[in-house]
Amino acid sequence: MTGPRHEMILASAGSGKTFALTDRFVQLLAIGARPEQIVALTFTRKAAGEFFDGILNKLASAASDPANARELAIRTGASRSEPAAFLSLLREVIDAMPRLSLSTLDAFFARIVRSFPLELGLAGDFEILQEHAALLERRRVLQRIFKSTGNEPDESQRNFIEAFKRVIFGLEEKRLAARLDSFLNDYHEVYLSAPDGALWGDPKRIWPDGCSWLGGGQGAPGGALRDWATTAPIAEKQQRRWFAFLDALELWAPGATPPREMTYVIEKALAAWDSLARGNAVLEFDRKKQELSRSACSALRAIVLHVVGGEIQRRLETTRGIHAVLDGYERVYQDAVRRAGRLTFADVQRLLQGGPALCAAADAARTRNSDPLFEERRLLIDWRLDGQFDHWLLDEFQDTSAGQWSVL
Amino acid sequence: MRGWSGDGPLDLSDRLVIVPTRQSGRRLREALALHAAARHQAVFPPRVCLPEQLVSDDEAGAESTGVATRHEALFAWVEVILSVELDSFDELFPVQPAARNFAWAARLARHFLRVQSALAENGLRMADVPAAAGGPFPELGRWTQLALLERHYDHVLAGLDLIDPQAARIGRAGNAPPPDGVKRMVIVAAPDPHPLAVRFLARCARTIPVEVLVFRSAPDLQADHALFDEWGRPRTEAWSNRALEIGKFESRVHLCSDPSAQAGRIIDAIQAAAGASGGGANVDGVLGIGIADPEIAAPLRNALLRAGRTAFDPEGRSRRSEPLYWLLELLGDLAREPAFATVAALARCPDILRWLENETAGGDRFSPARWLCGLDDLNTRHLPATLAAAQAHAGTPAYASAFPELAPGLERIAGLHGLMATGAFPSIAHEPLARIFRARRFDLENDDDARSVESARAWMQACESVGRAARRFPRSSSHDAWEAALEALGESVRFDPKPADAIELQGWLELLWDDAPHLIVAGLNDGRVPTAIVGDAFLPESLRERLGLKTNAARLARDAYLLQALIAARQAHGRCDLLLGKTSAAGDPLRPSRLLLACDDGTLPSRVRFLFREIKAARAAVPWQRAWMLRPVEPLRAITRMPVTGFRNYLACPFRFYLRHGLRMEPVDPHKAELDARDFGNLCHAAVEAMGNNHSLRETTDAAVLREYLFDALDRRVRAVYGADLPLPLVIQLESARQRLARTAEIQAQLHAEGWIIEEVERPLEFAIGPITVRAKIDRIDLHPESGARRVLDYKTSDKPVNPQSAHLRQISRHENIDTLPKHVRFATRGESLAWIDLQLPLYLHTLGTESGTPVSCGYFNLPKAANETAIALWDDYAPEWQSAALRCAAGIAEAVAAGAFWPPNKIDAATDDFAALFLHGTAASVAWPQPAPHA
Repeated sequence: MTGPRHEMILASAGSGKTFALTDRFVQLLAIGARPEQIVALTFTRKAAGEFFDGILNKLASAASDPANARELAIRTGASRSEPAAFLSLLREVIDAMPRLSLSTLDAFFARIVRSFPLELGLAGDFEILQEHAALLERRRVLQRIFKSTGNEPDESQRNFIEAFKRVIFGLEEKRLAARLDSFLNDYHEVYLSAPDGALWGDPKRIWPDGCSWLGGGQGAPGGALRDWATTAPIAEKQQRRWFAFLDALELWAPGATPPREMTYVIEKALAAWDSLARGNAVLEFDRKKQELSRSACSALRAIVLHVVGGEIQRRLETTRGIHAVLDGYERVYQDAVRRAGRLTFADVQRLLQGGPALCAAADAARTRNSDPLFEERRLLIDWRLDGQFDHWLLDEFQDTSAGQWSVL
Repeated sequence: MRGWSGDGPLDLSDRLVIVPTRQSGRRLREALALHAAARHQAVFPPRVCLPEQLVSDDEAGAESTGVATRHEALFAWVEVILSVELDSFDELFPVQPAARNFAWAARLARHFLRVQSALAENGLRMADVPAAAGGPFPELGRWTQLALLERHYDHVLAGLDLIDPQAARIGRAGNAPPPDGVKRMVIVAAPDPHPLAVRFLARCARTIPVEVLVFRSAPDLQADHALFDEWGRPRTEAWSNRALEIGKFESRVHLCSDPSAQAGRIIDAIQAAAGASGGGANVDGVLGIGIADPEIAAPLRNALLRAGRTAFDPEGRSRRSEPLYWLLELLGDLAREPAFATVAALARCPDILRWLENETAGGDRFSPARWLCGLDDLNTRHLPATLAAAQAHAGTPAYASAFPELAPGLERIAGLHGLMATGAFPSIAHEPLARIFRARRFDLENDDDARSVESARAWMQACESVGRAARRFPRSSSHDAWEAALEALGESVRFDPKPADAIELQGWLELLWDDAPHLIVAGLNDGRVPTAIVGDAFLPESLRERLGLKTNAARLARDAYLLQALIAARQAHGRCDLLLGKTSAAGDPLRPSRLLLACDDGTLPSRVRFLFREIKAARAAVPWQRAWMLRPVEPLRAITRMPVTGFRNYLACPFRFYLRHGLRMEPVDPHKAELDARDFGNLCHAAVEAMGNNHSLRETTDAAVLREYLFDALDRRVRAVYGADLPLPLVIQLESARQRLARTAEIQAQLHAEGWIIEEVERPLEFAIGPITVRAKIDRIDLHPESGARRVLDYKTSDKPVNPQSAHLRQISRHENIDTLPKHVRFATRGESLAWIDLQLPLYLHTLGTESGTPVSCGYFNLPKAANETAIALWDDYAPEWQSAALRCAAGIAEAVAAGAFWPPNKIDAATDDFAALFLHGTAASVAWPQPAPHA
């Protein structure tokens, strides 16, 4: 038989991917891999259980029936197809049971963190917070943030308020706790995977070559357009459209939902964007065409730039504000929860992503053997985990996040 | 006992018997007493100890011999960890900790203590590891640094004339003579004494006889020396790969879905055993229960309780789950920061409730319900962040009258905080408890009271031990010492006497001592039996092996022997049932114990198929269901008066209307941390009401003047309701309210400029609709003196502006079954079929129209989130026929309310249903409504 190669099994649900993965496990055993050298990871606990059951039943079936043994040997390319060969593999897997790395990704990551607490900044063993416990911790942290302001908020509270205001960008918000809760639901994971403030809402980073919508205007020059609409040869209904648009524009501020009077005209302007730039746009209002003068084109273009640019600017500011709010929350959370040895599975994963000492090994792994640190670190990881991992099987790989993959 | 004639007392006082567990020691003493009693003799029992106790002192002994107590050792480690330059220990600390404080150091210190303890099993200290490992290994540098750190630690202890407890154990194993007065030592069925204990026994054996007794019952086993070493330990090479005889495998081994299913099977066996023995409660001597997986204990205990039986756990119960632990944890939080949330949690502790009750003087009666209700009310209305803020509100006459327990109760809790904030440890640990329990009488015959006293004693001991250590290591604060003492209490175990007829839940290692003919062992899963260590921050299995510490292979050998012995003992007369789970309680997959797969090659495939088969989860098909139906108290309360908002509530759902207006139920959010929509609206209302009441502002067209007035009125109101000390959300919410009021000022100035004045605010109304008296308060009535026009306005502070018509009426969809709507609710106009959802503004118009005789318009003054949407929204096309339709609807509702027609309920989206928490699978399925509806 040929040696195993990297392999991806891409198939529709129910077509036997997991079955194929258990075959792969047997194949690896058949070519001499020790069971504890194989890491097989699933997403759900149920799948992990079924996976192991599948392997053992497959081996047991082949170990007791020559026909099943031949069939399994053909499927896995095993060189020996007699039941005794599979019985020996079965015994090997059973003996290795406590050393096997066949579990969910979460459990595997937790096992690694337990073996490297000091390398990951922990002070010892830790407790995994299940969903409800994590919710209670969040409440405790929020209580700490919300504690009495005394007569005046302290500096961290002032920073928090400022950050919150940036999030809502001038729009008032009457529910802080509720809003914060929704931030945490929506963005906390994103924040934790990218805690660097420079990654949040920086236009230079998003558009390194500049964003044509930004820096467009010092306000909406509605006057020129109003003058044109007042004198242009257009129907009264169209004129009313223009005036309604300009009136709504005066009341509008970035962040507010633009009323229909505004969106109607802006959509028309965007549809004719190129001709507006050329100064010869023809817009159709209520199925009637109207030709805009060069100055009207220019004024309308400036207004659209102002509105779109203002909205983008607001969103950038909101993004920075969300980062600042989450950053404030995180500082308290880190201090009160993680440092006290209470981690969620997501925390475990992030620790592994960010653990410098282990990262060195991971980096070295990427440049295999080119870095002398690699073997040393690899040896250390194998030593602490009582294993040496040579083969990796991942179920539901499409659901593996970039963070999980980086840890693996 | 060999050689005892029975003529005199059985004197074993010069023997030291080494047994594997505490419970086996108790069983031995009990058996000796029975044996002697059978000959009407007394017994002078032998000394009994566990192997690890041979070379260790108890805490009291440690004190007198200069050995550091565990807390002195802990604090010494903390001292070292906090004082060394971590940069010099980069192999050990490759990452600098984020905060080097006591808590971090204590967690690490505990870890180091555990490593020391594990090493001491084989007489090693950290410094010995590089040499004992017998060659290079990947972490030599790390262990060298650990050794250096340990040397610092020894030095710190030596400075206080103390030595490390593990070093003392090792020294004792090497030097100490046999215990005084012991002339013979007997190791009884202890299959895995630590190497350090064995070393000590080996030395003792040079001077006194040391006898080893191994339990064996199968005559066909190999020679003893092939299976056991000279200390009675199963030989790893003999037992690791041995095929175990488990007769009738498929009828004796039971694969269960989870811990609850295993518990259920045990209960069945207990019931059967009780039935077979004549239905008595006591199954001792008939059936033995072994629990190898601690997860099974809780469901089994509960199942026994449901079956009317008591469980007894000889391994004791952790004090972490006792009421005193929770009380102390909360007191610690209170000492750190007197937050209202902590006070509210503390106030719910039964011991605090009893204390407050005892402290209530004179003829006043302390009502726990009123006290807790008062706290909820305080939180709902005033959101106090601190205890001091709560006290300020509780002292008002309104609270003093409605909740007389509140102010004195909070005062007493503040007193506790005062004690702890200013005192030093350990007095801060004693005095609060002394105060809380001072008037309490404990009846030691009462189990709960006896347990409380015993726990309090354990706390005092923990405090004493920590206090002594803290005095020697003054770097720790009172709070650190409190935390250390609490941790010690949480780690301690309470041993209760076994209640009569209780079912004993024995641990795996106890079972060899149980001679019941029928034994059930649950939790035969890998990782439980045998346990295994895979991966470790300091002592992975490969290093353990090299250091001669207990290994996974040794555990496997021990457990293989134990299982074989348990089964063999019952082969001829009795049976042994083995239960194993498919998943843990949390749903993690479990694997069968390897011991169940220790069989010959021919049997292995069928065993695998049997043990790894798919089974149905016992509980998968059982959905959550109500334990009981909610049954309204009969007769139903008659409703003769209601607020005008009641019409909206009735139209939304008659049943919820009854809950709110008949039973006066309302949701309480105990975790409320900020203003809810109603609070926010009330604040804004208060400000605009104040503006409306100020006649000097009636004609002001200067928005700035109005704005300042509104801001001032808002601030006054906030201070009055929430105090000066605001939690963070309120600061932000207040700012939000200001923004809305600023825009309101502009609109109001404009209205004044247009000639409108606020004629009246918060005008109370009371009118009759059929048999019901309706109460209302009109937010404001505006008058245009020039035209004589008048309009009724209601403030709305929802995020989006509200349109009066869509707030009162909805279109009936063509697909809707119109018959489900009472006739009085619907009407047709201008080709549309409409249904009422509120009647507030029409009823205002009805009342005012009757009163003044002049036409009045109505609408909302919207103060929404977007400033540019702040405006008056009038109900422009309100037609006279609508008014009569509204009155018909109001009359219909009033009749229905008076007739007690509150059923059936309407479907309401759970997200907007205040009572959603009460209902499961829908309201109708949760409530047993009295039929036919009676009413008072």
